[in-house]
Amino acid sequence: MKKKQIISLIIFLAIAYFVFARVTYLYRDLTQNRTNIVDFKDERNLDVAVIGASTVLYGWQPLTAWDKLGITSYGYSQEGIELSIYKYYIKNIMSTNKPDLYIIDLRKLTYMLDELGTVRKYAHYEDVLYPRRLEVISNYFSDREFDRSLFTELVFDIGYYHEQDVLGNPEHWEFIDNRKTSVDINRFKGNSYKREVGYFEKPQSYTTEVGELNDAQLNALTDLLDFCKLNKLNVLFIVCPYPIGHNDYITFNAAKEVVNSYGYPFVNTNDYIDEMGLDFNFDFTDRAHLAVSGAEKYTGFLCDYLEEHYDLQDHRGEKGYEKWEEEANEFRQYAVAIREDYDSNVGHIKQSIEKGDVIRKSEQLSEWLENTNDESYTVFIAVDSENVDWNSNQAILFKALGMEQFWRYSILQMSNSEEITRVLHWEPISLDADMGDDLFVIRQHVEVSTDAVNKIVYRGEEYTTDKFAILMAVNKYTNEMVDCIEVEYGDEMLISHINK
Amino acid sequence: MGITSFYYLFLVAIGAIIYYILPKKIRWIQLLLLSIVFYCAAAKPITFLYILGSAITAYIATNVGMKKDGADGKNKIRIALMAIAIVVNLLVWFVIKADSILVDAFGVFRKVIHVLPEFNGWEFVGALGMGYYTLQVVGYILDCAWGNIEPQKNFFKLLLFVGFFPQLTTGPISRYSQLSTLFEEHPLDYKNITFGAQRILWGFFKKLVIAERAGIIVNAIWADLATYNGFYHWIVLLMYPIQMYTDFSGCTDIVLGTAEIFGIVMPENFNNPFFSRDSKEFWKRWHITLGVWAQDYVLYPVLKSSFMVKFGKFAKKKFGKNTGKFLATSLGMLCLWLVMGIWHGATKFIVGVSLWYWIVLMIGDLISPISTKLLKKFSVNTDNFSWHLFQSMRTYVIYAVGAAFFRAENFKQALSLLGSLITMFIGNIKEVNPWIFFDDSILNTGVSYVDINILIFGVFALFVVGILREKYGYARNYIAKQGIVLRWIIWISLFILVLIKGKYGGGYNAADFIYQGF
Repeated sequence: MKKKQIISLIIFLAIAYFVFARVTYLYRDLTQNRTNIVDFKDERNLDVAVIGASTVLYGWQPLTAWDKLGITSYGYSQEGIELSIYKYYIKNIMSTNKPDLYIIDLRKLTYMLDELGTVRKYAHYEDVLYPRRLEVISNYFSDREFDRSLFTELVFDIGYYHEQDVLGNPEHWEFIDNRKTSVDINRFKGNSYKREVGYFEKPQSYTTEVGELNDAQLNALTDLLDFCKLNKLNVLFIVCPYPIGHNDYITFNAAKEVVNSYGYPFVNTNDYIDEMGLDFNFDFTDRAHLAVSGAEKYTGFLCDYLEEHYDLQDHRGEKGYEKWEEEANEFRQYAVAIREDYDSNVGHIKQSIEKGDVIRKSEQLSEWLENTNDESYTVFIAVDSENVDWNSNQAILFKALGMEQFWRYSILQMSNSEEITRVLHWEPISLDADMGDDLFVIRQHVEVSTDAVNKIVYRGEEYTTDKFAILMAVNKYTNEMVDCIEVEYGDEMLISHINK
Repeated sequence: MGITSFYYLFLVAIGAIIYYILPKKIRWIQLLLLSIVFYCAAAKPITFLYILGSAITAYIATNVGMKKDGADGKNKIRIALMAIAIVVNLLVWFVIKADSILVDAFGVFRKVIHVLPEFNGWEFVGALGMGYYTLQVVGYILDCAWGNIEPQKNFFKLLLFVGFFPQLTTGPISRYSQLSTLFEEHPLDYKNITFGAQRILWGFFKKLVIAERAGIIVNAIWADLATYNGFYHWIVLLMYPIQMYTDFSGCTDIVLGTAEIFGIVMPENFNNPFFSRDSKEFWKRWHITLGVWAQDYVLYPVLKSSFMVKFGKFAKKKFGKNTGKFLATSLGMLCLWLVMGIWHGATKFIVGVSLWYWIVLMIGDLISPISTKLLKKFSVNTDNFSWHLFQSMRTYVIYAVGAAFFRAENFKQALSLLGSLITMFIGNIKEVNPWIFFDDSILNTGVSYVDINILIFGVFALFVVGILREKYGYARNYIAKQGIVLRWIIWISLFILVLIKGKYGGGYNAADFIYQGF
């Protein structure tokens, strides 16, 4: 083979690889999980890197931290990412930055689920031939049976995405180089927000009891700690605030002991809910994530902690940091728009709570049904329709609920924002109902039956009647029962409220 | 490991690098080891024993007793061993691959002879490529017996001939003389590497872009002929040959391209079959190596047998020279087609495929003189594109009818489909549904308009490449003469097309090659 031919072959293969990589990047999906990772590659001079899963994504506001302390930070996170990947995150960060401090959120320790999804998120967004990417994929199989097709799909993710119709989407073309080409590269430094607001009660689970870490948890934690120690990193381990239960609390207390034994500090911010001023009614989107108002408080608290315990430089006004000031300005404006969204959602919740009084004062069945026919409520109905005169005017109400002439009914009626779902059955219904929006779902156990008596059981409380029907309205935001009525069959369909 | 998988490409790449690093004298050993590695990854490793057994029988048959040859070169022991080796190989193949024929035969006989036991076949796991290497081994033994070649004295070289990895998927069926390049010393040649890689890429295009897409439509319609009625049956009749051709020839391209990378030239299996003007020409362009094997090892020996010579003489005497010759040839061809049908391993192939094509070829021979006279009488110009197009389309439809038997689950289903093609126009007018070509009905089969456009483009590309092959030997030869920029644009574009429009990847299982099971 001649030298010219060899060179020609090498150039051709290089072009082929270049094209292959670009096509791969073009077809990959577009989510914050991707942009957080690829957009980081242009970040420099970071003081603090905050690492974790979605709790960091929605909880840590780097530009709020800039406003408060003048520190540069980045929330290096992907949704659902497991602890096993954190050290690779750190390696990624170390390749371009030397932060004074790493903050690692260990929230995922009590929720270790999807190792494959984690690896896929890492592998599918890094550059194709990035060595660390191949290392992560190989390590995934180190203690598992080797699956050839899965390995191929992880390495060559073009096979996973190429069926998508992306060529007509300009946004996909922006990422053809696996870097966003527009000037505004990740304005908010790895931060995002959710629109929803979840209504919770403040947990009463604070405890100093120390539980036990299982093998998987201990291995994941010590592996990460060993890595930090080996690389002589300055690390603060934290747990973000959330509606924490007893089991999680004692697990984190156990984790604290392990972390401290390595000489690292550990702060479970759930110990400082009052100091943060967190309102569990409105500062969370769901059981895991902070709403924008909660994120502000949480970030503020952490900044105070950092100011007290660490000597981080304030770069406000310094040359070379002008871009941070610009981006912080943008974020402030953006935060106003987010706040409006948030306030509107909070308004809905408050309104639904207030409307409960109106519902409880309803005197007619038609009035009650009209008041509860609202996306804020879920209605359960048990009705013995054996004696209903289906030709009468009263029957119209029941026909409106989708009922037809039948012996008896148990009806589970759940209202989402746009749909009403009914389960109509002549047998008792007992199930764990998913209540609420698609994105904010709480599972409650409900029983509806029409045996000897009409009965609804909700949250362990039983409501029965020997009258014609029993109906219960539940606030889907708060999951509280708003009202329960029994209905006497007749021309007037009289109702009585039987709340406990 | 399928040959459209990343692992196969990786194996070939690593194998080729090691091949060319090693000293030339021992490269064939590396090929043998590579073949064993491929086999263990692609099939149950224990079944490699079948290939080993075949090679052992062939080696013993062709080497034992050589020194005791008589004056005329023949040795009864050697001949007996060869005969036994052939029978053993064919018997093993038949038991494992073609037992369904026995099952059907038992079923038929049991209707008459009720005491016959029920027979549901044997459940043996066969070797990969058993149908292909068995014929190769039989051909090798016969060539040795007839003195066409010298027996291979090195057992491992013989094993390599039998088990050379690319051919185990879908052939081709090579003669020993054609694969002697396996043991030659090949220098690293730029053209071999590039042409081989180009051919592999073209094979991927045919299989993943065209065949798999056509298969969506074909499989959907065949799965529910009652729902997909009327003109759907015409669609599936005419589309299946495209799927079959791109699937089979695509695999062949990958196989031949792989061999070419190692400097080994394997015989071609396809040569623009849909350009054929008649069925005779078609079968010289389609699955060429099977046809040549059947011709050389079945037809010619049958025609030269004493029985056929006598029969030929009798027929000529009785019916005249031309008719007599026709009858003798027809009988020989019937044997050839029956063997080809049996090789495919099921009764429906014998009845539907073999008999159909045999009848078509014989009728073609019979009416050829008459049609020539008629064309002359009516002054039909047969030397133009439109006549060639008519002939090619006619040949295509004839092939498609036989292919219906190939695709159908059974003989009855094939007949049902073929019957419906006619009956829809006679007395079943409700089935005539031409609107399916204009509304979105075809999308119900699971394809999108993008898929249909890609199919059309793919068929057009096949046509263009076919034209280039007719003119330049191979389209690659033509492209190789173009400037570097155009060449690279063509190959990179083809690569991108396979990458983004190939049917592969997560959540998708590429179908096995249609001819992989033989």
